[in-house]
Amino acid sequence: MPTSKTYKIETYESKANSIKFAIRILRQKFKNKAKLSGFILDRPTYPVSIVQPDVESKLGVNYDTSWSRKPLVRAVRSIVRESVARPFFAAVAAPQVIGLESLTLNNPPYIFTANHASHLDTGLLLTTLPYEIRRNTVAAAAADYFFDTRFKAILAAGILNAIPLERTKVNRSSAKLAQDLVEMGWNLVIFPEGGRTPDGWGQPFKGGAAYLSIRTGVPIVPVYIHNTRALLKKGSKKLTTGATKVVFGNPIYADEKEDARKYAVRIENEVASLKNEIGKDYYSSILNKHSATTPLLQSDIKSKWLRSWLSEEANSSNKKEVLKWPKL
Amino acid sequence: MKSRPGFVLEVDKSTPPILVWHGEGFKVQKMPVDSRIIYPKEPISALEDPDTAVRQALENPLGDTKPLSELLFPSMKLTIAFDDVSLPLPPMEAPDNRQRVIEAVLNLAAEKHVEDVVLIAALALHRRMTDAELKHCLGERIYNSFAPNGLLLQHDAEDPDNLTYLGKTEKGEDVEINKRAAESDLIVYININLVAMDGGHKSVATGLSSYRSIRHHHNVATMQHSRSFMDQSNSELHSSNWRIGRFLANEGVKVFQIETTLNTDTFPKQFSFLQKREWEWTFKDRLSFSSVSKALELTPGNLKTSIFNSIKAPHRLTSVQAGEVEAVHRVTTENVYHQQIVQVDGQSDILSLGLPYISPYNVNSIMNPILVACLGLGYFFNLYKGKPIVKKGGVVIMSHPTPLAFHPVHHPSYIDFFDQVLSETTDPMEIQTNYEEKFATDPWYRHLYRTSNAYHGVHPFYMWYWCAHALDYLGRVIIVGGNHQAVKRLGFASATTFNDALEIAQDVVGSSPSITHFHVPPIAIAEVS
Amino acid sequence: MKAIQLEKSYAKFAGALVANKLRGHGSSMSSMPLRLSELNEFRLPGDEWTYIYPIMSGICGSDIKTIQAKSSRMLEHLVSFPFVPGHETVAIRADNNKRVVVESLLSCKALNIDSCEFCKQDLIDKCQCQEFSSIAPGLQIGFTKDIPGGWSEFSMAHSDQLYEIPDDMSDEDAVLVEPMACAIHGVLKIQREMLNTFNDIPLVAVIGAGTLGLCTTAALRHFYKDSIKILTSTKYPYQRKLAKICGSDYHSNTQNYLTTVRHLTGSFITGPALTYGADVVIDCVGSKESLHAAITTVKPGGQIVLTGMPSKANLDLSLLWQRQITLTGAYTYSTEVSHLNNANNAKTFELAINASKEMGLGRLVSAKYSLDNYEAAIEHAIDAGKRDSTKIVFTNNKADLIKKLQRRIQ
Repeated sequence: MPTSKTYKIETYESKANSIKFAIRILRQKFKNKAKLSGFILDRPTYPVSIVQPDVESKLGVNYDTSWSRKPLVRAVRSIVRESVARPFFAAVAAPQVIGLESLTLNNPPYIFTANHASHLDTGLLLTTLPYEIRRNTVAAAAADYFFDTRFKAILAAGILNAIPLERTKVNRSSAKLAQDLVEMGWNLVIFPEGGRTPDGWGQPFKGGAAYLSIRTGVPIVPVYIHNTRALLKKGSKKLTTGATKVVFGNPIYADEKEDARKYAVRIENEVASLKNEIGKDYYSSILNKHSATTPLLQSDIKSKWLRSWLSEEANSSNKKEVLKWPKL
Repeated sequence: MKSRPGFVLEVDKSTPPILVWHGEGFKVQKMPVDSRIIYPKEPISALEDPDTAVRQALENPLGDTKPLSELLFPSMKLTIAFDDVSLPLPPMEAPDNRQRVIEAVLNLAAEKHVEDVVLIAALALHRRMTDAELKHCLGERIYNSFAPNGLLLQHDAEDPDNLTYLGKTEKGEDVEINKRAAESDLIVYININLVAMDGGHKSVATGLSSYRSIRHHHNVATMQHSRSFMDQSNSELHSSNWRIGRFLANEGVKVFQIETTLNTDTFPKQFSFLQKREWEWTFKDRLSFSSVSKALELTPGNLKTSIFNSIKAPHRLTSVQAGEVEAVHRVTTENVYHQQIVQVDGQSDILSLGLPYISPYNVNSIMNPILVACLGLGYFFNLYKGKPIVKKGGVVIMSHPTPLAFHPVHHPSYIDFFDQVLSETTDPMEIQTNYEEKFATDPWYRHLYRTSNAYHGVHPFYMWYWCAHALDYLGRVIIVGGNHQAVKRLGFASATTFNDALEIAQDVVGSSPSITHFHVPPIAIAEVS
Repeated sequence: MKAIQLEKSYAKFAGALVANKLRGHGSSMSSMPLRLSELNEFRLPGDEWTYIYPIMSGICGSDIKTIQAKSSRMLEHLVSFPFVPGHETVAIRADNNKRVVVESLLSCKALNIDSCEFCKQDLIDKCQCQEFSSIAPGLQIGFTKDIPGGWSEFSMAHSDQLYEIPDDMSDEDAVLVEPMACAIHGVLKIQREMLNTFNDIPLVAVIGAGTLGLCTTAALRHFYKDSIKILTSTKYPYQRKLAKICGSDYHSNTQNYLTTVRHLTGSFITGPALTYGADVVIDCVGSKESLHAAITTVKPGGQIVLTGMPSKANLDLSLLWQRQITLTGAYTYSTEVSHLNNANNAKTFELAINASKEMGLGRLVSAKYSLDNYEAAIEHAIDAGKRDSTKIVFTNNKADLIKKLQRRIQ
């Protein structure tokens, strides 16, 4: 007979928490046993009469990523990228890469600007670039998200070669770092939307990438990444497999007297045009582009269900094969 | 595929043993000579292009109503309600009818740019569906467009803020339904009419209403006067729902009803022997029967439950009707009867049933003893039109292991009902008078119903009331191969084998009783003359 | 004269303990530290003492625990071996041939010493002086080597310990007076404010439906009439009927006890416990499990009365603390001071005699054995629940007794 205990519905979260809890207890036990606590091993405490100085945060925008561009780290990252990350993305996302030949038109460096729908985007883009470019690429990552703890910062900088970028306000040091790196010849991957899409529709492109391109004279390569939201969307913890596409456009430059804001809009339209290319042919997408009838990345539909219902993701079929009853 | 009609077989010495369901398993059993076996009609052929059929139905509605596309306008409040996890049985292979129809409705709504659309699972007092169940019945696209935006709701019959009280019918029945539905410009209701009982005014009048309203027709008196639920003209349950439905229409609640019917293709190919006539079993059928039953014998209980719960039925859409509720339901019922009616000549003393692993209330769950009683006496016994298959004062013999097991999350009030109510009395009237209110208003059950995945506190009572007609009518109920303790608590007799059960039955129906075995599932309705 | 003696044989206690562990509930007689002996009459310990001849004497749960070596060793200083058990006794007084029940508790007066502060107020249940008298230590008659208990053909008692019973009261009703007195004592420990309830009518839950549990149910009904609802949790199905006879409104078994209390009080379940619960729980079992059940099902701020004899139990008391529960022990009987008017300053035994007669508790006597058949009797008592029995008693032949009495007078 069931007892009261069975009323409890165990959730994924509580399981994760209990594991964390167990680890904490074990650590405590272990620490006590091995006498690994106390001064010498632990940090000394301040006497009360002495004022403890404030510690300046070394995380977020202030995180120093220079170690991650040292030759040894680059070599290790290169091995990880080529032997783990590329096969992983090939297996999970099966990317079809379109338009890479446009990168032969110019010499590096480039600033890659892409739409952003998933955590997979950065990795997918970094692994689909040609070798010569991907080994020399840094990715701009949200300082408040990827660099808020030491652990995440090390992972982001170490594996993705990410640099922290403030997304809510202009921060001189982070913009300066990106500019310096681009001028030194590093390629940069940046998502001008400033975050992943909540519903499948695009968000307005911010001017950061455009500004960098104007300041450094480095061309922008618009990129459209298709269908990653279906594999791992914002707020989801479950990764599914499926087919994705990465479409590269031709490098573009800012016109003379074009300011960052206008330039950003133009970049957005370029990405929209690349999106239009999927499912259509190249020519009709160009026709759309020149008659300014390219469907936009953003949508002004207010109704939430209509936004979702009419979004690209809803209409693409990403049906998984359902495990059927075994044949007898 | 040509489908042969159902028929009644007179058992002779050459009749092979027949397949009898026994909960999560089945057996073959030799029936006594001269007994009868009712075989259901074979699955009728499905619609060839279901999507077009759905679109056409929406554009050519039945009854006094305009096509759906003309009823939609941008600034409207549109509510789409749909049947919950209790239909169909077993759950059907994707795409579910609900997905197919709702996608068509939403495409029309998107064309008209209807901004305010809400989906509501019409739970009535059933348990809330899980995300996986919702995804299965609506499909990913609908789920993803509505669920994350908080527009996919499950009707909450205990949320005073989201119910609207509309008044009383001429017979004094309280009418209270979901507030969003009541305030909508249009309710589109999507039904799966698995049996003739489903659909019609019952969809909105029960599915979207509250305990206050439902108790007027879900009670012992109504149930005892429903002869049977499958025959609307003789069902008090339906009369009451029809009154409430018409009252709602008068109050200006506009319903666009869409009803779908399925064929009785109930089990996947691997289990095709389950719906074949035994004398036609091929070598392959016999082999799969024996290997499946052997394998099931060796499988531990929990695993067995999850294996059976993973079965998805290859039901196919056979018809879709849309429009005004009563006009739609008339056609739908005809279509259901077309698949399910079997003519049976005369009643018999004993009705024998093999109860399967599933009932409407234990989808992805456990079939507890109360649900066993309800499936046998509430559903299968009532699968008749005209007269019951069994004579008054006769005996029903049901085969089911009736384990003393409950799903603690889905059926908490069932546990207490079994322990605290059935241990005192099994008389439906006494149970209704002395215990119903305390269970219906218990705050803990209310809490679990609203926030977890539990059936409402009063639900086990309704299960017992479903049995009221049968309990009133029958002389004895015998369960073969059941857990003795559980069977005894239900107030039934317990027998180890079918032959023992026949011996026990003889005390009631004499020494040479006439026996009819009802070979369901797949479902059939016996029209007894 | 014949008497059943319990001796302190470590070997046999150990044997009992092992047998107990191996076989669960039952225990084989060979390993029990009991024997039927022929004893000479004891000398009366004091002037006010008198000989009595037991007609009927019950086998109590605490006797069984002692025999099975399951009882707490914390009380060992208040027991002296070898003794003749039996403290639920109906007897005939040797000096005036009247039928009496014995209030077996040994307090200062019976021990022939100056009254302690408790005994001065007649609160004999709280007297702790058993070790400080010329009589060998014993909690009650039937636990000391100097005074044989009721499982014999003769016994002794202080005249203050003897309560005459009416002629129309049966021996069976009388033999349940002692357990009924314990039950009443527990019931009257319920504090008045505990019954201020959120429920329509206060709910009192009784855990256990052995002799004590059933007597407690009966006592609750007797004193509180219809002002409370009673839930009795039974272990064995047959106890359900008896509980109903004794006046309980609701029943549950051990497995669904918690959910039943939950439903009756409209509570929620939070962790192992209820958000609300029974106003008072009376634990008539005293095991770890029953105490846990009591703590999880009594309302926050409620009261648990522990009537059953407990022993060492490993129990998590955090809920007792967090729910601010009052845990009240209830031992034996005394003079009652209670918020119930009809109980004020009455002797528990007098209340029990009335109640037992009124409610016909003699119905709880399931089997009678002679002293010669003591092995069968003890085995029956150990398995009482499984054998659908409640109270097992020893009887002496009344005719023999009267002959003995007459011989003595001559």
